[in-house]
Amino acid sequence: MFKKILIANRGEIAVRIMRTCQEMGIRAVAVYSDPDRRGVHVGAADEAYALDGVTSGETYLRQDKIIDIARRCGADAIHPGFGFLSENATFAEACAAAGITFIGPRPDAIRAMGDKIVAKETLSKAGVPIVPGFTLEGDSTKSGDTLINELKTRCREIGYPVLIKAAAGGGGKGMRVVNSEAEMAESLEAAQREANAAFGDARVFVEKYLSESRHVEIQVFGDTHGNVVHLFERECSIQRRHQKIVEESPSVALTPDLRERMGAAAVAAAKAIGYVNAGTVEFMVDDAGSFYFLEVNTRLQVEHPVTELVTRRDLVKAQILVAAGHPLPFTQSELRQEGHAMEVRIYAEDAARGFLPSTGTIGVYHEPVGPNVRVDSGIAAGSEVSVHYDPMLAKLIVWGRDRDEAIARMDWALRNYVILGITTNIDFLRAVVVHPKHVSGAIHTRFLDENPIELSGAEPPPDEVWIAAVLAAQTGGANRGIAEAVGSDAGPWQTAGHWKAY
Amino acid sequence: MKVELKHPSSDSTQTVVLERTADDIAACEAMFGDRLVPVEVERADESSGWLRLAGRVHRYHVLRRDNALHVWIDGKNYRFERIHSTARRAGAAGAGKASNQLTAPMPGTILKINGKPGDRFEPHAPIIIMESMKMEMSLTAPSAVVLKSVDCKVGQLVDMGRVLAQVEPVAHAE
Repeated sequence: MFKKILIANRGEIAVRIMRTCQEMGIRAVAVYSDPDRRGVHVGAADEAYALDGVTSGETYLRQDKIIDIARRCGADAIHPGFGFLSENATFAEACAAAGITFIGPRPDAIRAMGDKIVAKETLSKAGVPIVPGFTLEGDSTKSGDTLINELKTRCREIGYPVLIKAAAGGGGKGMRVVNSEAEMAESLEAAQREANAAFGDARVFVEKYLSESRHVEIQVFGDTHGNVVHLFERECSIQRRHQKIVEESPSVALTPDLRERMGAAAVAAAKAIGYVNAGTVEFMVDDAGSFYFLEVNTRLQVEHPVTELVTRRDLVKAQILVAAGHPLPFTQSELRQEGHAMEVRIYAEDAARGFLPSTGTIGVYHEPVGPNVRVDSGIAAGSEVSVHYDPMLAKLIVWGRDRDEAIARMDWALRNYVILGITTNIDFLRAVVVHPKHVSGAIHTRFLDENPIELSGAEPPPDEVWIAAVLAAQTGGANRGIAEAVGSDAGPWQTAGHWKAY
Repeated sequence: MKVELKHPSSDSTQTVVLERTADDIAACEAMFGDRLVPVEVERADESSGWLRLAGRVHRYHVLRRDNALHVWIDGKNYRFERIHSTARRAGAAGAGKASNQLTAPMPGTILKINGKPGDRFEPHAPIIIMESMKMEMSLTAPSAVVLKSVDCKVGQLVDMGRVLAQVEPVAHAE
């Protein structure tokens, strides 16, 4: 077994991976950028090393720096988390060349599945149903009339709306819904531009857009001994601009028979590419119960805790065991899906102002604590939320005997999650979770487009809120970050602590 | 304490006066114009606690960032802005350089006054000692000053912003 694992990530996922390392008696190594010097993940680690730099490009994406630190500190494995270098085949190869185990799939699997066009072709051959669509003949990176005309002809065959997607895509980038021919030229250009900016690869392909469909994904796991299992589904239909915000398991849309068939298809897909370690096979499921392959994510997913709570398995532990050459710690017949788990993503963004990212220092921070409530977070009171990284602050995950209990618990947990100092989407998430249509399970990927979420705040608040505001005015601002408080200029009458004369 | 507040998302403003009615730390009265609302304020610490109002309990957490007031109450988040009246603004503007007033930064009780008008204080010497929320704090002289007048008494309960004393830097006094 590994003695020391370097976690090439930051924030909540780095903290979560370190927790499992430490439970397993493995030393956890953090790396950090300049703005993250006082980050929660640094304090959670057993050792921490500076990446010297500010932007992701200067720090968490620097393969050379990370591998050099791993070598010098004697780490025998690197866990990439998600995002950053997690789906970078070159990095996986560089780790291997340095004699360090990359905790994830083999580089060839990352590369094959990272190209969405190759992935669709490969899985189609393995008998996995795919969304009707086509790849563009010749060079799809160019626009021009010929290409637009070819697109229009072929889209007429599959019918509008269609979705233009980036071959190297992920996270909703380089993705455009096209409702009619009139929108084609502009959407194609926008998708190519975005794909090129995000992935350095402007290739796109077209799929039929299943508007009222659900996004349901299957967690798969393979080991180096030829075993492949699935750990059931996660429904991630509640999305905003193709970004998941609420995830749950089980999905209300799956019958035992459909679950069985989708699980079998996902396992067949994983076997077709000789998949090792944790992966996710994403599908669209339509009203008729037909399912279509979307893509394979060759990493641990943001929403993996949902699966951990319904299966009572630690997926990071399984990843580490498999990477060390052990067989999977569970067989298909041992796995059960028990109760109902739901996750929401807490973002630093202002739902009342077009979801603009919110930055600043967290002044007051209290996580909800209670039975079957889990918080994976990378923040604390005093944490700086900067413009440099993803605005996801934390994930809140609950488990209930059934979906109604899980929703009620999530409502409670969101009501008891206190973050003051920056604007978060907590109130918005609560409105989504308790929305009658969400409670009834009538969800699909266009849920938020068709059900505008009413945020309170347009009405003058009741008396107790105004009184609390007076109490806020009475505070001395002592909850600021330490640096801010020390650096503040309170004038010549500054005295000890938060007392000062005006 | 009298505070003029604006709730931007509903575009509403109110002037709220919150005062303690007795030495009992919890009992307060809130005045919304002519309307009087009895309320009990139980502080757990500086930034949190609970209110009892019309038989109901409301948990709160608060944070101030200059004039921006952040309120979490009963699971909902609110943002207010504090509007400063002309008098307060004038006082605050003077604080940076030449204010000759010592004011209470928080509500509390006067524990001790170290001297009488005409007394001279060296830099960092405590002039007035206050107590609030079981914490004792000193208002000290930042430079050599002469105490001009004392505008409070030992044992007095004072609101935030209340002028406690007038001082003058020694250079100007001589």
